[in-house]
Amino acid sequence: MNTLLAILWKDLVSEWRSRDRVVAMALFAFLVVIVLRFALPDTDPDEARRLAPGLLWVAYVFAAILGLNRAFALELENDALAGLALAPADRGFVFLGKALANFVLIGVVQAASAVVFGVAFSLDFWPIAAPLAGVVALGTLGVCSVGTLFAAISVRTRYREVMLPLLLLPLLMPVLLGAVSATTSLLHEGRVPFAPVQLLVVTDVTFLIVSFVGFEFVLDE
Amino acid sequence: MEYVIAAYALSLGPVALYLAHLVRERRRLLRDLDDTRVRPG
Amino acid sequence: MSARPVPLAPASAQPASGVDRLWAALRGPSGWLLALLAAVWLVSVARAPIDSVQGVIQKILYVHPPLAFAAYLGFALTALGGAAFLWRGEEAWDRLARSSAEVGVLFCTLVVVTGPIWAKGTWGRWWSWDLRLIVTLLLWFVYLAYLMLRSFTEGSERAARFAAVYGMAGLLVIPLNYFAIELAGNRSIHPENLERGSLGEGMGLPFALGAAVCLVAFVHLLARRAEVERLRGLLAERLALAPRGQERG
Repeated sequence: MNTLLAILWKDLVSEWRSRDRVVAMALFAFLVVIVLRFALPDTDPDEARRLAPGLLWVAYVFAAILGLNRAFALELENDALAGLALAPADRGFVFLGKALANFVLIGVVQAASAVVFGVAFSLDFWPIAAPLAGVVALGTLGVCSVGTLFAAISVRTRYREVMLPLLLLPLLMPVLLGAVSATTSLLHEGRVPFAPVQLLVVTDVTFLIVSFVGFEFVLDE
Repeated sequence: MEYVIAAYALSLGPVALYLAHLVRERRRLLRDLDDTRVRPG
Repeated sequence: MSARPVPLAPASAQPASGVDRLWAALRGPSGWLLALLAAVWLVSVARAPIDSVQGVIQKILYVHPPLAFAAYLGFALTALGGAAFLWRGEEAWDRLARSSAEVGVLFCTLVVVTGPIWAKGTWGRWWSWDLRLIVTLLLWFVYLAYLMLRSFTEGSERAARFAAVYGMAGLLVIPLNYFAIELAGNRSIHPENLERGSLGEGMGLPFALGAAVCLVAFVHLLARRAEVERLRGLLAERLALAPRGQERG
């Protein structure tokens, strides 16, 4: 438990000092939103409302992958990956600390890019902000769990920036379907039905357990 | 009918090619392994 | 002067571990069985009755689902081999995982190729976003990524560990995908149960033969692929051991 907090604290502090990951992720997310907007130039508000949930999650996932790619970069550059592996604690808690740090950083970027997205597509997210944040948190938890596991894998491979999305995207299907479905209902009817939330929770729990156990085998000295 | 022929050709063909590749690869590896033996004298 | 030549095993290099011996024993018999079954199967497909609704194109049934069975078996064995490798740490299990992933990807590719041909012939379009289609397509991507991960990771032990974790995660996601895609409202165009009702008179035998051919073909290819993998490892080991200048005898 202490390991978890120590890793989380270390990652957040080092990010706070440099702020490079959050800034890069946020800029990238804004750019994706702008590109999506220009890819659909003559979209009327109804059409935009219909397409928004999918597009929003496209921006979120791309930005998250960019951030996850750097999740272990600092350790790699400082030859500290072995130190992480040799930490006198269950590696599962090392994983949870890293995943939570990613979750917080990606969450900050998501909040900022939701504002940009709302402006670009003339959507008002404010009335549904609280339930939307809940849905996004559930989806992001799924992305961060396997995302952190695969980031630890891909950082030790050649072409690591390419490897991570190739590993991650095919497994994210249930998370994305659940999140887009919940966001759609929220945007159109103002409420979240039970089924997608159930799917998200089941997927999150499965992914967290898999990553917690699997992390044991992906760190090496 | 041409759809059926296409489906069967496109399934049997690649399997046969892959099998041939494995057979050739095995032969090559056995030959190379034979070459790496240290012969007396 | 050089060190005394290391006496090495004969080039035929008999397999040492149990799993490898199994592959070596299976190679010959499964090959003959495959040739025999394939011939009988093709004759029975040619003689099978023409479907009254779909016409002759229905004969793709005798190859398309059997290929899928073999592909699913390949991915299940990949996860199983990976789990056994993480548990026991024996390379033979990793060779099983890697080989069955490669053979599974081959069969899965053929499923994804033959499916659209059937679809184009009966529904007039190549692809539809049907439940089982999406799950199969995602599996195909997962195990292609698995093979890429293996070739992009340096160090065979590390590659084996990474791949084992990924291969197991890839299998675990299947039930979640079914759940997710049903939620998204995609109805299945595939019959839920092939045994009940959808097979007409005289269609059972060629279908069963097709399944047998694909499974035997899978076993035969797997046995050969695993052997090639073992010989490759052996060769790399020998080249590393051999004194300089003696690599070619």
